Amino acid sequence: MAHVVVPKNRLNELLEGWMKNYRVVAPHRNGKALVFEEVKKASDVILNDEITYKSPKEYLFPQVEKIMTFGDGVEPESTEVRKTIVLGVKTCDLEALKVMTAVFTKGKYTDTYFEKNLNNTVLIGLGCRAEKPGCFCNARGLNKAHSQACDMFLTDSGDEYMAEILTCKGEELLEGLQLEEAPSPAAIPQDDNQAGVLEIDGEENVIFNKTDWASISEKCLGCGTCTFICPTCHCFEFKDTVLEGVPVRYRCWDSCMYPKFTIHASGHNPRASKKERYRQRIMHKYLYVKQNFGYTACTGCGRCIRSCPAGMNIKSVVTEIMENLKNS
Amino acid sequence: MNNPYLPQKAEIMEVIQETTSDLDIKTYRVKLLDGGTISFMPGQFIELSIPGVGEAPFGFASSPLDTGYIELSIKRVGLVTEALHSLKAGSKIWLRGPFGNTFPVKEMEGSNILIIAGGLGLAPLRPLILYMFDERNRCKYGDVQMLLAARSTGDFIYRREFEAWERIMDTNIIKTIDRPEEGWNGKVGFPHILVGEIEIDIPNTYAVLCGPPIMIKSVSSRLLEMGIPKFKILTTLEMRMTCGVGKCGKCNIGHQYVCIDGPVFSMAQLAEMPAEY
Amino acid sequence: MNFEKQRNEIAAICNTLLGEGRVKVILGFTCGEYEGNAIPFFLRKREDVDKLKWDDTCTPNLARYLMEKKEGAAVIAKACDARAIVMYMAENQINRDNVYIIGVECEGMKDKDGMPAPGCRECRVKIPPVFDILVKNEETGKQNNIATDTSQNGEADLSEKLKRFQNEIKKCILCYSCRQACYGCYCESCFMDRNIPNWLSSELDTGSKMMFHLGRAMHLAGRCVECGACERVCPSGVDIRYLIKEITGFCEELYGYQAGVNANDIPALLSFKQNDREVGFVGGEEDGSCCGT
Repeated sequence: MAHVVVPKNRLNELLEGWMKNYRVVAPHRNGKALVFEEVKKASDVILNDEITYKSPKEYLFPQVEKIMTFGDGVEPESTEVRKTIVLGVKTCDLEALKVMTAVFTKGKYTDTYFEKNLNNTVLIGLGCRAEKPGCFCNARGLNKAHSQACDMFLTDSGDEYMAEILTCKGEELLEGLQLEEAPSPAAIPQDDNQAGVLEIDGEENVIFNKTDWASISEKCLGCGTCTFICPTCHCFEFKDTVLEGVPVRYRCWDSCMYPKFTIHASGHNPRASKKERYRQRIMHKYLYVKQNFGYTACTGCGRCIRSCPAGMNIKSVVTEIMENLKNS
Repeated sequence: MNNPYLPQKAEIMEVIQETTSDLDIKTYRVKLLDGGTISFMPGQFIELSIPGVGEAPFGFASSPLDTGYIELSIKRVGLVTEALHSLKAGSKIWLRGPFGNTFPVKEMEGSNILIIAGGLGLAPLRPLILYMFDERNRCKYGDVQMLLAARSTGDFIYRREFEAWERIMDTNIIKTIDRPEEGWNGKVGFPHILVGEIEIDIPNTYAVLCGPPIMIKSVSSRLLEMGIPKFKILTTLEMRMTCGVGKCGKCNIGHQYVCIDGPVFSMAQLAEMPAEY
Repeated sequence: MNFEKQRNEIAAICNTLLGEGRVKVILGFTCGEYEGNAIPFFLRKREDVDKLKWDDTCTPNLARYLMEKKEGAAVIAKACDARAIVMYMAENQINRDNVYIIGVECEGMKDKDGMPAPGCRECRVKIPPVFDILVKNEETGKQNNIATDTSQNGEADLSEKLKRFQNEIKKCILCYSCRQACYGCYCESCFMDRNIPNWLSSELDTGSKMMFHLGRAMHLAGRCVECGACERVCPSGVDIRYLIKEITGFCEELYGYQAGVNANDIPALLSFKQNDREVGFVGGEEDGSCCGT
């Protein structure tokens, strides 16, 4: 694993070089928020300790993706996937993409659209120095300052970035730039986590039936904002329509918090009320994905906690559930 | 890897009107345009697309041993089925599958089989029935008893086949409707009551149920009371689905996805799962 | 505005209500853990009263929760919340006897940057129109200003209006948070969720976004209580009430009706008088005469 030094004053040069062959996506200031956008001007890019309002998942799992066109035959997708670099991805988002990759590519079937997007994307991580209010990646057992779930990981060290090259895709980006090699730095220690990793460790049926979901979910508005900005949320829906006479199918984000998420054509709805939907959200993230794919689908980025208009807090809910389990 | 969302083009060969009541159910015999066969086992389902309208999952309803075509029995109830019901023989549709798990036909060999079906619930059981009735397989199974229920005579499906089924060796069929009707000589009453009148060899019987949720609940508790072990009472569930391959997060009951771990479940499995269906 | 004094008064009322067992739950506010602004809080025990918060960050519209809390609930209602409750009663959604309204006179809330919160900027109704007990704000002493708001945008040209609307709506990501936060969006089955007919096209193009916002604006005609909850909850900063404000203005102009301001009013679009102006419906004359016949 090579480490090179990337002086900050050469960053624009690197970006402009990359922009010739890739779509480069990086954090930009948009109003008061920081969001991932395609880079048009290298100097607009902001790499700092802030966290973006939305996760960068939409660059691998677009909110609306055309997946086929019907004609005499069926065409898988009509747009070529662009080679993309996503720069400035924090540990929480990188680890979340690991979860999403497991869900979409493990098992008997592979979501070939996600896989293609993933293969055509280079992820460049960026370490965090301080936790933001609401963040709990540490409680989830992650190291905010370092992650290997990417092609290259940048650590801010004053006038330069220490870049750890992890894959060939990352190496390719720095070819020919004559960057100084650096000795492998000492491992950045993970913050001391006395309490142990925050997760739900218990029997599915007990947690499903014995937890007081009604009172936990009382304040939830069901607006679905949490699912939109969450880096691991991946539920989707197919929508068919006809565009200029051609039938097409899109894959769009869906949210388990929406009332009609599970409604049958007959009108029967297994999750007809808010408490059932909120229960699904928590149990899916902390139990079901873990059981089916090996990862807890929450990386402690804290976005849902910061953005919820009703003050719902997933960390408190999970902590409460585990305490109830211990005490019962 | 193969793209699991791409369907294959198919053509409707024949449309049969099954019901004469306000429940509009038609059976579609469909063949793949490229001449290929969709091989499936009883219990599995397929995703049917109508371009520009949508896609929906339906259980296979024909014999898995038939080649060259499959049959689907579909009730007109929503957007996709409404569009489908206006199609005729020769129309093109798209199919993707088969998906899901199957009835444990090997484990069921040597046992007596009790089939209880309500209304359209008979459709996903038909592949199992025809599989067992095939002359290559009939001797592998013991007595077959069927309790077929429908709201009224006009609500039965596959009525045209009952006679042939009755003639199969060691097979007994009881038909029942909810309320008396003129000209009806069969039984009248609900399945969970009538099942008590059937002579069942309790230790050696597999029961397979399908129908409205309330029927499944009432009949299965009756069967449990009678002493049939939980793992031998099987049913097939339906859920709203999108991808059919366990990715989109719609059809899960607890950590299990109806599209991958189901749709066939035993009462033993359902007892371990949260009641979310 | 003396929040401290008002908070103490509200706390005393809550203490009495819970102590006497007159209500099972009080819908109020408490401090959010991270951002410092208020979040909804359901008080059930007297000890909860200590956690009660009342200041200029109490923006959430609590009336929305009344649709679920059918059993004896009390609610700390600013003027906009009280207007929403009046509308719920006018539309037969809740029973007045089931709600105990702690009305609070309000001078306006602020958002995270200290600017007036959406909805509060142009607020014209500062005293709750209905209440069981009123917590005054001594510094107000104003009457409700119910003059018609005719301050509209000024673009006469329809194509310009369309362009402005499209530009604004482009920011929308169709997350439906505005619908979920709005007191008035309580339909069991929203028109956007239906697929027969399929109102929403599949692509997130400007057309579907326009469809949603136009439809919602029409469904809120004469019903918007100007609480600003929709704008506050929007993750993309869309000016959601831009069209709704215009339609609210039309309602006032044509029918002299303001939503939720008078508990005895029948909502404008739920009643019909013979001399009602029919501009825009019949395509008839300005004076309401019908097609010349």
